[in-house]
Amino acid sequence: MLDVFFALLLDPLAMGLCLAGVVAGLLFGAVPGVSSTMALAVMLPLTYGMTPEHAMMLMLGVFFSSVYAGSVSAILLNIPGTPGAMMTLLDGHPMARQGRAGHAMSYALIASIVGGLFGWIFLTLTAPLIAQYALRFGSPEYAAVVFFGLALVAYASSGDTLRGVVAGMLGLMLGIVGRDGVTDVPRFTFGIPNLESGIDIIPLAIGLFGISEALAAIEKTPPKEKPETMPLGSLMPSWRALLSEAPAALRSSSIGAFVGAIPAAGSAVAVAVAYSIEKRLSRHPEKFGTGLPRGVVAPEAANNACVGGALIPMMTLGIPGDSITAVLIGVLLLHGLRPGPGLFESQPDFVSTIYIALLFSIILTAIIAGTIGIRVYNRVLMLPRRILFTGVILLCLLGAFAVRNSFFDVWVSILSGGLGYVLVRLGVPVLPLAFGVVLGPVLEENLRRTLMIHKDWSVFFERPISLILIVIALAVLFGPFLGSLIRRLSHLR
Amino acid sequence: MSQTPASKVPGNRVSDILLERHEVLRDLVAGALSVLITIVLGVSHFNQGGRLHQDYGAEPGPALLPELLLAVLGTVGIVLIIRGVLSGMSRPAQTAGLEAPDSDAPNDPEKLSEPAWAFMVLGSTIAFGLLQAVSGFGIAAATLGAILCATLAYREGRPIVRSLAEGLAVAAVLYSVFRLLLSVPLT
Repeated sequence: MLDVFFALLLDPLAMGLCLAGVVAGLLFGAVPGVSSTMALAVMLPLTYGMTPEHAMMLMLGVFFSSVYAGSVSAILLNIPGTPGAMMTLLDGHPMARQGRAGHAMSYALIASIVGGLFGWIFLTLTAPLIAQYALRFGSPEYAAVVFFGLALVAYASSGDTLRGVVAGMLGLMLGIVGRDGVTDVPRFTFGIPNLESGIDIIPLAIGLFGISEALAAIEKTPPKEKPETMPLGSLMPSWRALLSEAPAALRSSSIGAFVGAIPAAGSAVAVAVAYSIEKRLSRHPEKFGTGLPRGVVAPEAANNACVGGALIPMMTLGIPGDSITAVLIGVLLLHGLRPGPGLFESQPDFVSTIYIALLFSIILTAIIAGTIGIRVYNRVLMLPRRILFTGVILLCLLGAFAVRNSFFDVWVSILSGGLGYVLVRLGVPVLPLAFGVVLGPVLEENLRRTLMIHKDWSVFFERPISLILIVIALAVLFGPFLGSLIRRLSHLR
Repeated sequence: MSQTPASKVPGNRVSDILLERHEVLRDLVAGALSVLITIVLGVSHFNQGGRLHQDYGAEPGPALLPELLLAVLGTVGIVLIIRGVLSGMSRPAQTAGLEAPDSDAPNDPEKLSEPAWAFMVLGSTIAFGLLQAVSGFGIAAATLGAILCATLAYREGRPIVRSLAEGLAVAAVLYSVFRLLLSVPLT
């Protein structure tokens, strides 16, 4: 890994792209309504023409820094910039109102860096082990992993599992549009020649996470309202005060890294768990929500530790842990790389590149946000939303074209943007749809290979790993219904 | 048992009931859409000729996964509709006599206008798709930039003429980045 570290460090373009990614992520993440996923979807087409290594330097820079930057608007405006910052505002904004905005932002930055480094260590230690184990998986296990992942995503990404299943099924169907890889028979193509090669994940992701999120943000924008920001006050708290938060930062980091590694759990779950645990452990839980530094440190350490955690299922199993890693899988596919245990065997240097790119992203975020970012954020937040969202939508459309120089891809991104927006309005989560599109071909390939070799569905229940995964997936999907049915029956008695 | 007068119902209960009504509607629409998509795709799938439905013997053919997915989507759609109908049927008994507060009324023009903005922007992107086929990327991007910026400025209560220029400038900058820096052949 050390040779990759120095190779990237001495590559000015790689470091420049990582820096550009960090700056873009800090700007995008700070603006309310622009999530980390949208930031990545917008930047995705720019990676076309780059080497995979350079693309990862740019994208991981955007990923890590935008997650941290979500805290800025939470603290200064009382609006979470990203879902992972939803708990930060509970204590961050009261601190800002007490004239301690600078302190709150410093706590957020330092906790984010601690969390990011913890998540990075967790990633580098656990990913090779999981990948080594996953290399022993056969087709039944792979098909079961995809089913398990889809069930978790359908369950966790919204309050309603059934609607999540609808999105997952739609995604799987979109994923298998085109000519079948084995028999060359077209499916769901409606005689449209462009559909015969399938729907590309990149314009679809741009539409689902760029255009549809922009539409949702435009809808939510309060009209005729100018953001009111807070004076920063002094920036650095005392070292003693900082050190007293170290145990909380480490506890929350471990929660974030672990929760981040669970598909679909995501940073929103991690910050809620970390915040509530710190509140429970505190001698003065009543002070949470009144401007307590620990209320900033816990969620910020947790959401940035999630970054390393979320990369684990993506890299080792090829399963997107959340919408951001779904976009990252799109980047890898764009460059002809399929994530999964095979990546560790065939491209060990590229795996090291991902580790090092994340490490550089953390370091550059600390440097840029610590020196310049904190001082200029009040101005960034004043960026007119009309210019921001005009830019985002145009960038999505031009970017969708740039991937393959295809007008068809522009239409795919427009229609998937509309579809994503309508689904969100109907309370149907978009993540299972993206998940299904990425994993549809993987599921079909492994399902058919299994049935070709074993000629029987019972093989899924005869092999221990696939049996365990299928049982958990079924419990996740049907457990809530069975629970409520049993409760209703017991009430009737 | 007497009904609780609307004026004495706590606000959070009224909003809970409105939320539940909203969820019922979402279930019904999502369920109906799922069934509709299943029917449309099912008709297309089962009417397709050629080797799609050929007998592949013991081996799984190309129709296996699409048919599994259609079956699950259709079933879940029906379950959503049933759930929506059952929840809707149990709702009137709980909501009788309750009136929604004015600001949360479903026909509140302020609330109705919110998705309208998003649909207007979506419509502009569709118009962009149609226009670029006729006029090329440059003119279509400039037009979309100006329209989007002016639309959003109108919503913010800002001057529209100035925002038209801002939109054109944003489009020109992005077009130049893609055309000149990234060498994308935008026609």
